[in-house]
Amino acid sequence: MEPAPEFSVTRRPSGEAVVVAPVGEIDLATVDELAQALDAAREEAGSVVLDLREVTFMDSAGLRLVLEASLAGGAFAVVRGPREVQRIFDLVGLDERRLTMLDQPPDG
Amino acid sequence: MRRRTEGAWATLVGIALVFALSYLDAAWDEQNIAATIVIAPFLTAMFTGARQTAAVAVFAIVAGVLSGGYNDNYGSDDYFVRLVVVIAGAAFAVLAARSRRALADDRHRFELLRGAAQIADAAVEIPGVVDRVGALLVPAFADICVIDVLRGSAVERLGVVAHGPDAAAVEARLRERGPWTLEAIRSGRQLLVAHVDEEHLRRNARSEEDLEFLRSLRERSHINVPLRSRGRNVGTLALLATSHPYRESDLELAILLAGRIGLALDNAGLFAELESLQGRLTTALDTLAEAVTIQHENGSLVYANEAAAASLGYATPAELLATPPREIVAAFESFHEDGSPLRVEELPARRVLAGLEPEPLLVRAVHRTTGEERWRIVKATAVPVREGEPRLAVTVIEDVTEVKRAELAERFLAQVGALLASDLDYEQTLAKVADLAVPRLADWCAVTLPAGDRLRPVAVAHSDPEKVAFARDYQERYPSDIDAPTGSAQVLRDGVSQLVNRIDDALLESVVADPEQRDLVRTIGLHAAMVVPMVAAGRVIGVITLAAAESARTFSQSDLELAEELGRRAGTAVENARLYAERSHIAATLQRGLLPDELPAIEGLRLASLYRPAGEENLVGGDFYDAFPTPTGWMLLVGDVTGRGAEAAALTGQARHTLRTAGMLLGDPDAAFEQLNRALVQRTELTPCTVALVHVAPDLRTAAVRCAGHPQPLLVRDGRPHAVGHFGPMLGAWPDSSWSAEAVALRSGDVLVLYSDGVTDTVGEHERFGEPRLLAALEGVADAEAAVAAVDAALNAFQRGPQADDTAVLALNLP
Repeated sequence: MEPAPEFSVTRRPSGEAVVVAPVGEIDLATVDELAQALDAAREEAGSVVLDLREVTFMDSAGLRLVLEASLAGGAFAVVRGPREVQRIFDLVGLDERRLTMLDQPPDG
Repeated sequence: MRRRTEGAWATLVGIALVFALSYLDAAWDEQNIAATIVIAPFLTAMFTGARQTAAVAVFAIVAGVLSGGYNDNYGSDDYFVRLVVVIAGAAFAVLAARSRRALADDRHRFELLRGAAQIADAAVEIPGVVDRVGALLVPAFADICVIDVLRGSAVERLGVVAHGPDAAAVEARLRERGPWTLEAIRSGRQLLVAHVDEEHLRRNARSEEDLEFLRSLRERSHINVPLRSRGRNVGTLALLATSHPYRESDLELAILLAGRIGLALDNAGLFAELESLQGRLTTALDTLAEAVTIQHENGSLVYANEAAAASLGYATPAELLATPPREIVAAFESFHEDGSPLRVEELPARRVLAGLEPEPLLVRAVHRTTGEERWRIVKATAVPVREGEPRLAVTVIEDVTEVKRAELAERFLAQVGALLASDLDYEQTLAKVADLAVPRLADWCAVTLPAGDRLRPVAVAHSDPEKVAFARDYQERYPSDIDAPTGSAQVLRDGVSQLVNRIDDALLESVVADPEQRDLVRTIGLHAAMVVPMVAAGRVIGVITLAAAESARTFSQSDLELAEELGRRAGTAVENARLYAERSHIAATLQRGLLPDELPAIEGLRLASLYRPAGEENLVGGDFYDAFPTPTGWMLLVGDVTGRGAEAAALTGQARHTLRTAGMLLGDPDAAFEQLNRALVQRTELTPCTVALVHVAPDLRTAAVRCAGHPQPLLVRDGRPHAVGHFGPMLGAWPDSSWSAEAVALRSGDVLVLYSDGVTDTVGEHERFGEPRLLAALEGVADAEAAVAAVDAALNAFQRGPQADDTAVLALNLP
């Protein structure tokens, strides 16, 4: 698969947390870049917020990454993405009981 | 022009004789001697020309007629007989005089032509030619002779010859007037002016003073003819006569003379220029980078330049020329490009000397003593020679060793590359590589890989199969020890290639301890050898040995570099082949774990499946499907394990088997899910797994559809697909999960399609395949086969680039 050229990840501090905001498609080709950003964020702050609002697609590899983060302990939350991204959470049963979901990042 | 006065004297004497004889006849009464008058014209004819003889003859006839008076016999028979004798004798004398003069003229012309031909043959310098031409023609044929010639693109007045007391002044003046124009010379105009008149002089005069000069020459007659040589007009010859006129026959003679004079001048000029040309050519040849030799038809070399001497292994050209030709040729073993031996008669110079026109020949020459190999292009041409001269062949030898080696190396490596890429069984591949290296790189090629404490020969090549068999026997009898201090084992250990260009007894003794083995090695007649490592990922995985025996060649540094490159490429190919073999073994094993050998036959249900594994490089493992009977009906499922690496892939197989075992034993899909969920959650590594499971009741009337984090199956009823099934949590994520089923009442004609997210995630040109396209593809499908085919076709049409993820589809229908 050709790498999604438009994919990018930004990190910004937001109070106690670091907000990681990927833009584009999260799949096998881009998931490593996002994983590195999340690892870096965890080292910078106690709590990490993954902002999915600019994510256009997420496959099972991306889902596994979110799942891993949610199971790893520590403060982790996601900002809800578009409907098609949100649907994959519903599909696998990753609901509010198992993952903190926000409508907005803490600073937004 | 002495002839004229001689003629006048002879005429006078003849006439006097006529008078004398007539007087005698008249005075002598008793005898009539009138007929003796005829003696006079005969005598005249002996010394002079026809015209003078005719004059005397006329007098004789007149005297004969008058003799009737003093002999008193007019009208008598005697008178007429005597008169007829006189007339006939006179006529005959005139004819005799004429033919005698013609003979003399011809001799004169012949002498002139012979003289001209001698000048032409003498090959003297140009001034010498002019002097000799002047001496020949003046005054014998002309009173003044002028030669103008073309030199390059200029006309030069080469010679002016006159005779007489003021000859020197006339010559100087004519020289001063300058030559004819270029156009006049090129036109090759020939001109005869029998009578030079005032008008002619005026036409040619350049000034009043010049006219005065021309008049002073008292020219009576004039001839102008082109000097010709080898078909070209090279000059003009002007002839002036003051004492007598030229006739048409003189013009013809002048043309013939001019032809010979032209030739003489050309020869003289040509020889002079050739001398300097030869000097220049020799200098040029001496310094030419290409080797040049000139061979005599008797086989000996008559010329060789520096490059030829160096190329053939001699210090100087003189040394080369002093060597017998047989010896020069015998120093090399020569081959055609295809490796067949070259015979001496095939050499281009030999062919030229045999009268043929050979094509340039590409020769591989191996020096018998040094073993050095050279590639040469040999061209030969004949030197044009005159009849009777020996044939000569010029040979130009261009050394193309570097070019040829580079070309061969490139071609060889290209072939090796193609071979290594084509065949993935590396032992077979290495055998082919060894074959390719023989005989172009060496006489022998062997490939050895380490195997335990031994070196295992995997390939041996020689152009002679018997020798290959011998080598195999030898290798079997004397296997190489991997700890041996020298040779292949050493190269295998330290990865440094070895090159030996002199394999002698001392070396053999130091390497091969066993005398019997040594004798065996000796029979091969090894001459030189290279041992290079086969390297893959910085590791030495084997060695390639290249050896020269019967070809007696040695190996150069560039040969070694080529062999090392061969080692690198072969090493990489072997490593790739090993990896590929390993990987395809893993893939085959896993594949067996992921998928049922074949879908079961279920009475009243029709099943079809589609499995499109992701590209080799993403061996993530992932999708699986299965269909099996349970105590409570049939279970059909499609699942997907998300993880990375071979371990995750292996888990995929485990997931399928866990579901199958639990399902078959317990007959309860929820229990099967729980079983797998527990197993996966217990693992330290997160291994999420999603499954869609359809449990069909034994009567095939109802189906319970469950999803563990998996896309819902699609039910195509009356040709319209829609999603069915209850969502539940994925497996392997949380220990406290539970699932529920949606019950679907099945009708005849229903098609149920289970699929993995590889279908909807397939990447197209602009976007993902997505659920809407899947629904559209399944629109109107009538059975399981059609559903699977429709999905496959839609994906094929949509997909761009390699497939990123596994894709699994399982469809069932009620007929």
